[in-house]
Amino acid sequence: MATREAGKKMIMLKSPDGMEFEVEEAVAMESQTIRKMIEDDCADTAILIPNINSKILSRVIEYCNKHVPTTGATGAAASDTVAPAALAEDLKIWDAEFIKVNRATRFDLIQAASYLNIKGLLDLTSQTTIDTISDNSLEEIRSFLSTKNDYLPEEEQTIRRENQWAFQ
Amino acid sequence: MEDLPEALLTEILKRITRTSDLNSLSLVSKQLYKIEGNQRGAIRVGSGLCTATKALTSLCARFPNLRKVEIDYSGWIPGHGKQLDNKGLSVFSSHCSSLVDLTLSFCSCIDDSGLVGCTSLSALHLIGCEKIDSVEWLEYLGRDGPLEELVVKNCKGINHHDFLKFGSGWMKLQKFEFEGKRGRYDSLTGDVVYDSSYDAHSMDLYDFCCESLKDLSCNNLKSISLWLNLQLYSSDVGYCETRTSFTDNSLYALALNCRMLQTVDLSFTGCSPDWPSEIGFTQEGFLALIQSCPIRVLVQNTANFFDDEGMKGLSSSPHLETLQLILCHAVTDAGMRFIAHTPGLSNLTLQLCQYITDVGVAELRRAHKLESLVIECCGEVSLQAAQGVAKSVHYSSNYSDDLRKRIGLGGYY
Repeated sequence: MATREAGKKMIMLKSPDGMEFEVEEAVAMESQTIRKMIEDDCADTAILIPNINSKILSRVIEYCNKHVPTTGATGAAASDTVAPAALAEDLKIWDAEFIKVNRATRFDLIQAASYLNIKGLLDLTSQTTIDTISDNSLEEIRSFLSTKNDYLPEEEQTIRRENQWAFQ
Repeated sequence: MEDLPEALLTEILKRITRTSDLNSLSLVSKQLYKIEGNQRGAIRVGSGLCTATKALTSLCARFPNLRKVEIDYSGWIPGHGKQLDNKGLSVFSSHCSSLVDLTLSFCSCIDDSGLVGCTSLSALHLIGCEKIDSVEWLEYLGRDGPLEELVVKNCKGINHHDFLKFGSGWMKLQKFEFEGKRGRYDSLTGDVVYDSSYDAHSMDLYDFCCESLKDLSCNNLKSISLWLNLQLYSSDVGYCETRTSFTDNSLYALALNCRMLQTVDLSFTGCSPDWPSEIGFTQEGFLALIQSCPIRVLVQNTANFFDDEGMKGLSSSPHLETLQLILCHAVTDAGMRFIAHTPGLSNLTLQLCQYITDVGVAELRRAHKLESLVIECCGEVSLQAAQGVAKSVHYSSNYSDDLRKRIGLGGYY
């Protein structure tokens, strides 16, 4: 394992398309999956992250960099001067910008967040998806989820009737 | 990657709380209908529910993993159609194998025989169910069921002494809430409705606890909430008294048998401060209970027996975290001075306590212990005095809906 930047432990993450990302261990450990690998000593040289291409992996690292707790060696001073509420507000604005991506990227981020087990990122991406469902018509939801309507008209009628009281 | 795998779709669906969103998802495609149906753990139905067995069976098949079912007919009028009856309820209890939590509100077509089939429940709430009267179901559920939470409110056929029938069920029960049927405005006009059907010779629940079953204890009971009505007692021809059924003996029994009790909520609305003996027990008995159980949360509503000495007794209870006093006229600033030093007290709510003033609130400020303070309709306490006493302060001179309900204004009429 490489060590640099004033004693901070660094970790190498590899995407299946051959790109390598060197990140601080604390940042990588935002992912519970990677944390477990490190804790189980399965992370000697570089960690290969299957199924997540370099484009998505770099976005995930960007997210973790922003969300890694700032307390510690250099962060202590910063968190003393900035009120926690203001910090949270700042993160929220950053998140909102971060998630302004197209549909395919968002789905990739959901899958990455799920595989790497990064709760904050999974919450963010899921909520954005739920908002999309709330704000759109049935047809729009179908095209968003790339699903086809496989109901017969009478089947749809039955469900609509049942829904009237199944969703009180 | 084009689409989300089903496992992830399910993950996302689990987070949806708005029913209108679930409604539209079920119409998107058969796959989503199935995912939504499988992950659904709770359902609330009522007026408008199609009670035909076929429709109910299909509903249960659609949601195979329901753990919690709430059937609420409040606001029902005959024009809404037939209400769910015993047969309909049995569709739920036989088809939903995961069902453990059932609430029946204002179900006027369900009686005892409907409940007898519900032996796998761990929580049962009955609110305003008029038809439930004979108490056989209590016997069944007590003997055969794993019931941990039992809440009965405003069911005119169920009296507190009926809970005798619950028998060995008391050993498993963790939470018990009982509120008898209330008459209209009975606490307002002083025109108290007495329960004249009460037979003074039959044991009631609390006598039962202490006298008849010494081996039986309520070892798991953590929370008890009782709305105590006045009863007419006559032990002699020509002599009768009205009081609540709870006596010091009942309190000693609770103290002895319910060693895990953490939450106690007692309401005596309808009792008048002019007649302290209407409350069948004394402060001494009450403090014995508080001192023998690890009480964390205490609510006293119209507790006329409870005064500053009582507050002094409370202030030494090591576990008390939350105290709510409603219409407690015998508690004054002196009581505030005591309670301010309770070691673990962090939440205090004072509602309609007219004898507590700014001076008492200043004692709380000095002790500097409270996380939250709620002052509602306490005429002698000013906003200025309350400000800054706790991390969170709520001050109001108007009745909230909750408070109205607590003192018997509004509620289930």
